[in-house]
Amino acid sequence: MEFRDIKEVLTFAAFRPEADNPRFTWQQRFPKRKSTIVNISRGHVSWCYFDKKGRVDDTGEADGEFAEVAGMMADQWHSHTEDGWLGVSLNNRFIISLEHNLSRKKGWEDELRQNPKSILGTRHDRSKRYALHHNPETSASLLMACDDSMIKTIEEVMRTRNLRPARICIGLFAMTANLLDRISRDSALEAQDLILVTWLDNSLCVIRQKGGQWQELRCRSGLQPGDETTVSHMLRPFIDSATPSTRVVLMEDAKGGEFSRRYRQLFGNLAVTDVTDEHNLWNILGRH
Amino acid sequence: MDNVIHDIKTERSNVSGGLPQAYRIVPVSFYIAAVASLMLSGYFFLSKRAYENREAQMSAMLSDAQNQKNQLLSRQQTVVDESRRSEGFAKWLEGSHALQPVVAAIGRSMGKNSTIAELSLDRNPEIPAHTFMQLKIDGGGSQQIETTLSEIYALDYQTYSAQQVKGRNSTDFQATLIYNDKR
Repeated sequence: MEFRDIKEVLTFAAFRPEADNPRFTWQQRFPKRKSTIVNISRGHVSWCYFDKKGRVDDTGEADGEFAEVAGMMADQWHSHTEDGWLGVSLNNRFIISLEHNLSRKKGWEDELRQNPKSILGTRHDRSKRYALHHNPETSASLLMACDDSMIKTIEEVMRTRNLRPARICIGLFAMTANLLDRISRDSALEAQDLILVTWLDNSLCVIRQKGGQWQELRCRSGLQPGDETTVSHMLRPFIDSATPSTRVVLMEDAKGGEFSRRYRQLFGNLAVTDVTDEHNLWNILGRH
Repeated sequence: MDNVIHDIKTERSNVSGGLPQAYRIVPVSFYIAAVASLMLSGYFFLSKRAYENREAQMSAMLSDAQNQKNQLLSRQQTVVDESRRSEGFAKWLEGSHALQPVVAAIGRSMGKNSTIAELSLDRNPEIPAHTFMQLKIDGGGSQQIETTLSEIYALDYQTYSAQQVKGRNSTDFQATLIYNDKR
């Protein structure tokens, strides 16, 4: 037993999960410790510093690929972390799809990380990494697939900058799952005809939910800034099939974000409910 | 796990979830023991200081008592010395008796043919009851000595170490008179 082990027991650090343990929430991994989460989009990087109480302390953003921005910001990011552990939200080169009848056997979360083929079957692709969010009422599931090479590249960049990935997730998928959870807990809202829109820094996910059933899903990551045509094409089928009672629920990465400013008018006369909170993305990633 | 955000990073092997929460009793016990030790140390420190203060007070009291004892002993010694001196003086006074009756008895014992040529009575300062007597009588001879001694004996004196020297017309007598208190 080394002195470090004794010190960790006496400071109760040994009773906390390690910072890169995927089975625990961000708050459980960094209780009373400051942390930093970085959102990596196509040609754009934003970040958030959390204070020791887990509240948003400061945010920042810069244009450029992750490797370039990390070169400039690594020391500052490191200074706002404990031991260089960094949270990463990827916002590029992923796709979210709607699947049915996927295995939900006990321990599927670990199984999906270690042996995804046993969960996904023929849908499995060795060049992808996956995450799932199940509908608690039906057999439908959201399947997120991200390029394995992209993740390895980011991990390599972080390693060269003396940073360590505590968690790498897909911010848009986390937001979408969070929104679906909130709706599933609200029985009145769940029973309605809904178009769920999540937007994170030029990545868009749209889901049609009717009576608690997920009926249709479209997702694009890493859109060109101001690409209204693509956004319009993605939303058109949902808007065309909407009825006057259809309600749009919108969640963005931050209140009054780009989607509200540029694309909200595409919904025409449909009722739009914006459930975006201040620092929405950072609060979701920093709490769960 | 429902609220845990997915994690797709390359997983590290042997990632710890932390020690079981029940084991928190180990550091908690350590801190309790440490705090108890500190409190006991403080308690013992204060007790020791109080004991030292009390010991200093007791030492001072003991020193005062010793001084008082010495003073009393000194006064006692003075009283004892005075008493001893008084006793000596009282014994001396008790041992000493007026010699005038002896002189008067010797004078009255002289016959018509005898006279006192010399008479000296020297009291022993150490033993006041002893008086060395030197008597020279002209005329009378041994008979007169006997008469004189009878008068002295009548005053409760005894003679000790008596010597008598006869001259042609005088007799020298010397002896130590010892008063014999018959009361």
